This record gives sequence, C-alpha cells and structure tokens, in this order.
Amino acid sequence: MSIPEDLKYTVSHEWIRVQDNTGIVGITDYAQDKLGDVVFVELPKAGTEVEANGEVAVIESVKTAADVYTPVSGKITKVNNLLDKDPSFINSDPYNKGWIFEIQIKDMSELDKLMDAMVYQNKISED
Amino acid sequence: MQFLKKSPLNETHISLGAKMVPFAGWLMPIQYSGIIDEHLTVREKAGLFDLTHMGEIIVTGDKAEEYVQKLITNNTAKLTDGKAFYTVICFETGGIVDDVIVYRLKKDEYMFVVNASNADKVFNWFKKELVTDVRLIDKSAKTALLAVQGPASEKILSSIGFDVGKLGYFEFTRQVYRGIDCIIARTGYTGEDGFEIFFPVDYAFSLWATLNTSGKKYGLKPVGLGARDTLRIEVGYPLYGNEIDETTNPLEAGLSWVVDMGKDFIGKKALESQVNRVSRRKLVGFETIEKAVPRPHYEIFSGGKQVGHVASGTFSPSMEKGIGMGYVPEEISQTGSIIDISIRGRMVKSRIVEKPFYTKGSIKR
Repeated sequence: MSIPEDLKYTVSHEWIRVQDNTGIVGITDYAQDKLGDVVFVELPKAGTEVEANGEVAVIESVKTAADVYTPVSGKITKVNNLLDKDPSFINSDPYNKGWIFEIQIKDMSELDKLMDAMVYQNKISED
Repeated sequence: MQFLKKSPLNETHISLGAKMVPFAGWLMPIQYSGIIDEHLTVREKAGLFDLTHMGEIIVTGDKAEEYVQKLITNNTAKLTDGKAFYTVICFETGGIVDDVIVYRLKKDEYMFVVNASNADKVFNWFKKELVTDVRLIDKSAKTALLAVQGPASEKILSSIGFDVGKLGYFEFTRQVYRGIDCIIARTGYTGEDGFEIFFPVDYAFSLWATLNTSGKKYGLKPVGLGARDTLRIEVGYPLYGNEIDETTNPLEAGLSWVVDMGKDFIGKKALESQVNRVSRRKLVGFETIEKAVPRPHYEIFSGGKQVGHVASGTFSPSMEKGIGMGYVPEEISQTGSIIDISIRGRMVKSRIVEKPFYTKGSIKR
C-alpha cells in the first residue's frame, strides 16, 4: 500500500499535497483498494467555497458509493475533468492522475490537524 | 457470536489475492483482480467460481416425485433423468421459500440446489412437509461446487478430458473424472454458456487447481461474488433476498414461466387469487438515463410519488451504464415508462426496459 511521505492525510482517507497556499486533494491508495473499481466521480464545481470536513465529491465504485471530504477550508479552484472520461485513474494512480480537486487554502493552520504518512500508516494498520 | 463457514478453498482464494467477505454465513471471495475485469473475462472468455456455499439436498424414495411436485411450482413431468430446471418453492401464502434448480438424478431421486442463505430454511420446510417413503439427505457440507462460465467453457472442460460436448442447456451428466465422482450440469447464473460441477468436498483443491491452471491459456480467471452479482443483474436473473423473498410471489416477480397452474402445489390457492387482483405490482428492469449508479433500497418515484424500491442495482460493466430492478405498480410498468430513482438526494431519470439488459451472452438454449 503506497503512502507518499510528502502528503498530509485525513482520517477519512483523503490526501492533500500542499504548495504555497494551494492544495491538491485525492483519496489514498488504501481507500481506492477498499472501494474497488471506480466507475463514476461526481466532481465539485470550481469556484465553490467549502468548509473543512465538508462533502465535496462522490465516488461511485461497482460495489459502493463514498463521499469525499475536503481536508481544509477554502475555495475550489480546479477539478480533474479527466475523471469524467476515465474514473479508473483513481484506482490506477490515486496520488497523481487520480487527483480530484485543487483548493486555495483559507487557513494554513488547519493543515496541522492532518496526519503525516507515518501516523496514517499506523491508523490504517489498525483498521 | 456467529462463526463463518469456510470453503475448503479458503486458503487458495487468499493466495490468489482474493478479498474475502462474509456472505450468507460463509467467508467467500468477493473479488480477485477486480469486479470489472472479472466480469468482462466471463463475457469474453471464461471465469472460475467457487460456489461451495450453495446447498445440495437429495430427495429420494418411492414417493419422491409426488412429494417434489407438491413442493415446487414447476412441473416434474418436464424432467427426465439427466435434465434439470429452475423453479421456486412457495409457502401457502404464495411467498417464496427459495428459488432452486432441481436435477432429476433417477426416477425417484432428485437433487435440489438451494441458496446458501436459505439452506437450513429449505431443509426444515422439506422436513415439515415430509411424507413416508421419502428420504431427505442434506449433502451441503460434503459437496463442493465449482462453476466455469463464459464462451470458452466447453473448450476448457473438453481440453482436460471432461465429456461435455453433447450436453444441452440444463442437462447434466455423471462422470468419474480422475477418480472424482462428478455431476456436471450445463447451467449457470451469468447469461453465458457454462457448467457447474458438483463433487465431494475433499477434492476441491485438486479440481480447482486443474481448472485454474488448464484454463489459463483460454483466458480463464477466478471470479468472485462481486462479478457474479453484476453478471446476473445484467441478464435480469433474480437473487433471493433482493428481487424475491417471503413477501413476494412468483407471478409479480415475472416467474410465471416456472409456475404450472395446471397441477397442484403448495401456494397455488394464494397465487390463483393473485391472478385476478386489480392492483398489482410488477418487477421491472430499468436503466438510468444520466450517469449514475442505482443500488438496493434506493426509492423509486413516479409523478413525484414514491412507488417502490430498487431491489438490485449496479453499474453495468458490459453496457457501461446504471441498471437495476425493482417493483412498481402495474400501471407504470410498461417498457419505455420514465421513473425517477432517488440517488443520494438527487432524482435520476430512468427508463423501464426489457430484461435481460444484456442480450449478447453465449448461453446455448
């Protein structure tokens, strides 16, 4: 199970990659493995203001549907439209081509509440 | 605490990378390589399924035929030795005890293949209705069941020495294969040509390994319960607990083709009164018009009013759209009618369509 060192993680299995005050968000390798084949992603709209832990996207796999929560508050600036054509990027490449949305982070201190790779690794090994 | 029963192939599944889940009191593989890949493999080549959780009940004795006739809605007169059919078993109320395949082994000996979730219930129901000169044997714990399903199935079985070329759809034969006493039936639950092999549970590993290894060059892969479900939904087959249960009758479920009202059976009176009822519901198939995935228990709406629930629903890997089945009032059950499915707070327009959804299967009728 891949857990890149340079990302921050939520208890609900999202990751965020931060550069300056912008974050790219997706779901973890562990989460995609639990969901199974992803067939459809309901993406948020660019420009939407969201609060940390709010539902912003829905991932439908063959087996189940799962909400995606934003790790931080802010404004959604971009969404990954590639997922409309090929939602399976979430399975095949969850940390790169499978990214879901980009967010302009409102309050950088919210990042302190997220887990680093080691803590996340420990969390999922308890599941 | 409930302990899960394990298939004799449990370790084999795990070593093949299967995800194991509880199902009907058993720990069974839900997927290996992934539901979509496994699904398409069965449609295009062949899949190998461990169905050892299914129950097998033998009914034998001088009065066996008479007894079976009373229990099932279909007519045993259609069966000869080596032939099988699909049928339901009803309560007096017309509600369904289980849906089963009945195999006529001999004139006075039948094998019932029952759902794992209903195996004990069916056996108890049979015992309750038992008459003298009939004997029941529950062979579930001693019988393994493997299925090979898909267009390459016949080639695979023939290549390893099974003699199946002459078997017609819903026919079966008894063969000793490398010392293993097997019943091989040309039956299945996928809409593809294929076979189900019943044999003593001690040989499960040996036969699984032979099939899995020899089948590889024909593209065969192990397939779990996840794809088994999407395959059967695509061809509109009911699943007990979803489309049918103790509160549904075979007529509204679209199973009148297995109900012979010209003979006597338990539940017939209740079904007769159903035939003339004014307001009835009907099991229909639907596809979503927008991109969405219907799932069991989602509400069905028509004209702003809730009229039913989704019984089964999935993303169809073969047709790449949302499909499902559910009961709606007869008035709106015609093909082409538009209904709404409430999917996570959103109304998704859906069209009632003919079942089966998928019609290109290799099944040989």
